[in-house]
Amino acid sequence: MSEAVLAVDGLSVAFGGVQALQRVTFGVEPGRIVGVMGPNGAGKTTLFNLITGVYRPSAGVIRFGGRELQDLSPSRVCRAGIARTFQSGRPFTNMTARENVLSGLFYGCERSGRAEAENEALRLLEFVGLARQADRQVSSLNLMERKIVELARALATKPKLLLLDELLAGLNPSDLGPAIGIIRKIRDELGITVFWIEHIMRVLMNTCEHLIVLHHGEKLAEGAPQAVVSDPQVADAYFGKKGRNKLV
Amino acid sequence: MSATTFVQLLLFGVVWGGLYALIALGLNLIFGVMRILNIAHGELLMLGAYLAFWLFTLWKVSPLLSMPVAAVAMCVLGLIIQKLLIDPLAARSRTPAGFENATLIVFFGVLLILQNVALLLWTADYRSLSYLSEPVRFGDISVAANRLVVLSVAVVLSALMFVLMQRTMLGKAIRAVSQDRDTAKLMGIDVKRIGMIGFGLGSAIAGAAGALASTIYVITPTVGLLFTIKAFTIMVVGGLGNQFGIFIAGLALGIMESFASFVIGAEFKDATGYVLLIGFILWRARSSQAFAEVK
Amino acid sequence: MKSGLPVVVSLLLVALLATGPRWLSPYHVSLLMTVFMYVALAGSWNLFSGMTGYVSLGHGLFFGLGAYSFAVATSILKLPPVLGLALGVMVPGLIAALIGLVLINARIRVAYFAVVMLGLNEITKTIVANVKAIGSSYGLTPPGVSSKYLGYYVLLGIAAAVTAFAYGVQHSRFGFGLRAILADEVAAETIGIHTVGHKLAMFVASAVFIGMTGAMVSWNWSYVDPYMAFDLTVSFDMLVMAMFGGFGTVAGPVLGAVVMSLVKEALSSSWPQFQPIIFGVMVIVLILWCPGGIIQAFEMMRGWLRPRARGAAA
Repeated sequence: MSEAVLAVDGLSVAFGGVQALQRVTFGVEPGRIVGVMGPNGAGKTTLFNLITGVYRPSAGVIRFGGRELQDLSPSRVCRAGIARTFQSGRPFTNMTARENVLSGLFYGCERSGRAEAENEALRLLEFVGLARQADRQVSSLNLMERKIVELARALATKPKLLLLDELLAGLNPSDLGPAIGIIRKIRDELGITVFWIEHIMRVLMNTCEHLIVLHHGEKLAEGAPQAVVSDPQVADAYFGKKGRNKLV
Repeated sequence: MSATTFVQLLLFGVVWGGLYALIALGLNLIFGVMRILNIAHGELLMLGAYLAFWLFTLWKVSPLLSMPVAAVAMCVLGLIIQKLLIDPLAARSRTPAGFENATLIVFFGVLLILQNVALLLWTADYRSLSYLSEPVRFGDISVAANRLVVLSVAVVLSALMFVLMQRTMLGKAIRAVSQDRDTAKLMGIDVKRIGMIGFGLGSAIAGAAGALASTIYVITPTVGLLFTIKAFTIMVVGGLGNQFGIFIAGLALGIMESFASFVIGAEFKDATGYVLLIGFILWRARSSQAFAEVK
Repeated sequence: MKSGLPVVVSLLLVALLATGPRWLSPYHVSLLMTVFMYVALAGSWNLFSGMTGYVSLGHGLFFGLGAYSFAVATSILKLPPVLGLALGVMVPGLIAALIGLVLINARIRVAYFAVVMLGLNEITKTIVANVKAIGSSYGLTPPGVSSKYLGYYVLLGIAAAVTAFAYGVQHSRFGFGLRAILADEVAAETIGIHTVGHKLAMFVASAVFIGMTGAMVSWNWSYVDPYMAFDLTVSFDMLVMAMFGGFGTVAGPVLGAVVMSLVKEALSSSWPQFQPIIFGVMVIVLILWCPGGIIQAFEMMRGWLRPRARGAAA
C-alpha cells in the first residue's frame, strides 16, 4: 500500500454537547479520487472543516505530507497544499471569474507574480471550460458556472489534495457529465488527489477508487465502492433494514 | 476591610447587578429573536428615566407607577423603530453579514438622534429625583430604601422573564426562534410576530429599567451608552440565550464594580466591566473554532 | 490598466490647494482645514471598515489618543511639537496593534467588534476624564502652532496621504486579498489569505492616520479635553461621511467628507445638537435606500443613461 497523502487518526470534535465526529480514522492514497458518503448530518462537511483548519478537533491527528495539520489556521492548511470547495459554491461575488482565479494564484502555494498569474489564470479557466466567461462578474453567472469558478480558484492555489464538498449539488442533470469530466481531468492531468463528498451514489461508484462512509459522526465503512455499497451496515444507514436490497 | 463594609459593598453591588441583569435580559431577547445587536438599547433606558423624572417632578408620580408607563412608551418606540427601519433592512439585505452591518449603522444613527434630541429638549444638566431615599437599617448595615426597591423589582421582573421563557408557549416559541430561526419557521411559528413581540418586550424592559434607575442614578442624555455596553458585556459573558447565566453575570458585574469602586476609586469602576469583557473574549478565543461563526 | 486621469486630476487638485493660503481668505482657509480633517478621518475609517467590512463604531478613539499624545508630549513632557506629532502617530498605532492582536486574532464576529470599539472609546473617555496627571476633565493646553498655516499644510498632507494610500492598496495584491475578505472571509482564508494579518494591517494603518490628524488638530487649536477628543460624534461623523460618499471606495470618503463637512459647517450656526440628528437621519436614509452612497448613486445614474446590457458575453 502506497504512502497515504492524507491520514486522519482518531479525529473527534464536539459542538456544545453534540459529538459531531467520533474517532474517525482513515487514509487517502495519492493520485486517487476518494469519495465520502453518508446521510445528512453524518459529519462529512465537519470532517472537511476540520481538515482545512476551520474547526479545531477535540482529539485526534490529521497528517498531510509528513506534517500535522490540526492546529493550523485555514490559510496555513492551504499553503500546505490542500484546497477545498464549499457545498453552496462560494466564489467571490465582488470579482470577475478571472479575478477569482487570480486571487488563488496570488495567495495559494505558488504566489505568482502579476504577469505569469494572468497567463496561468487564463490557462486554468480554459482547463475548466470557462475561458469565455473570464471577465464576467461572478454575480451574473449561474450556479454551475459559479461552482466551476470556485473550483478553478481552488486549483489556482496549486494544491496536492482537493476537497470537493458536493460539487454536484444543485446542478442540472445535463451539467453533471461535464462536471465529473473536469474532476477526472484534475486527477489525470494535474495529478491532484481528490477527496469528494457527494450524495449521488451512482456517480461516486463510477468515479471513485475508494469510498468512505460516515454515519452519526463515525466511520461506518471504507473500501472499494462495490464492497462498501454491498455492506449491510451501509444499507441500513441509508434505507433502514427493509431497504437492504435497494442498493445497486 | 471590615465585615460591615464588605456586606455593604456586596449589597450595593447586588442592587446594581440586578438592574444590569434586567437590562441585559432585554438586550438578549432582542438579539435572540432578531439576531441584531441594539446598541440604542441604552437610549430607551435613558428616555424611560427622563419620563419617570418628569412625571415625578411635574406631577409627583411615583417612579414605580411610571415604570409601566415607561415600559409601554418604549415598547411603542421600539416597535416603530423596528417597523420603519429594521424590517425594510431585513427584506433588502442579501447576506446575514450585510444585515448585521446595516443594522449596526442604523442603530448608531438612532443612538445619536435620541441622545441629541434629549440634549435639545432637556439640556445636559444633571437631573435626579429623590424617592424613598431614607436609609433602612439591618444592624450595622444601612441601605437606602430605594436601592432595596430597585433590587426587588429587578429580581421580580427577571424572574417573570424566566417564567415567561420557560413555562409559556410564547416563551418556548421565542426560544425556538432564538435557537434556530429557519427550523422554527418550518415548525409553523410566525417568526415575524415573535420578532415584534421580542423587540417590543425588550424595549419595554429597557424603559422600565430606566424608570427604576432614575431613583438611584443621575439622569443625563448620555447616560444610556454605558448601560448598553455593560448589558452587552453581561450578555456575552453570561452566554447568549442563557437567561440564568446572564442574571448571574449581571450580579457578578455589579459586585465587581462595587468592590473595584472601593479599591481603585469610583471614577474607574466602569472600566472593570470592560476588562471583564476583554478577558472573556480572550479566554473564549481558545475554543475549538477558528471562526466565531461558520456557515 | 485603468486610465491615469483620476490620478492626474487629483495631483493637480492637491497642488492647487497647496497654494490656497496665498489667495484665499482666512475664513476659507479655516474652512478648508476642517474639510481636510474630515477627508483624513473618513478616508482612514474607510481604510479599515470600508475595506475589510468590519464596521468600527469607535474609531474616534484613535483621534483622541493622537490628540492627547501630542498634548501630553508638549505640555507635560515639554517635548518639541514635532516629537509630539510623532507620538501622535506612534501611540495610536501601538494601541491599535495591541487591540487588534486581541480582538482580530480572536476572530470575534462583526457585531461584537463594533460594540467593543464603541465601548473602548467611551471607557477611555471616562478614564482620561478622571486622571489628574493629564488634566482630567479640564483638559490640556498644548502650545499653539508657530506658523499660521502649518495646520493647513499638514492636514492637506494627511488627507492626500490617506487617499493616496487607499488608492495604492486598492490597486495592489494586498488589495486583492482585502476584496476577497470583504466578499467572503472564510473562503478567503481557505485560499491562503492570512485574513488576520490583512485586517490587522489596515486597522493599524487607519489608526496611524487618524492619530496624526488628532495630534495636528490638538496642536492647531492649542486645546484638548476628553469630551471633545473622544466625542461620540467624531466616530459617528467619520462613518457617516465615508458611507455617504461610498463605502469601500477611494473617492467615496473624499466626496462624502467634502459634502458633509460643508453641510456640518452650514448647520453649526444653529443649535449644535441639530447636526448629529440630521446626520443620524441621513445615515438611516442612506442605509435604507442607497447603501453604496454617492458612488453607487452615480453608478446607478450611469446605468440609466447608457442602457447597454452589462456582462454580455463577447
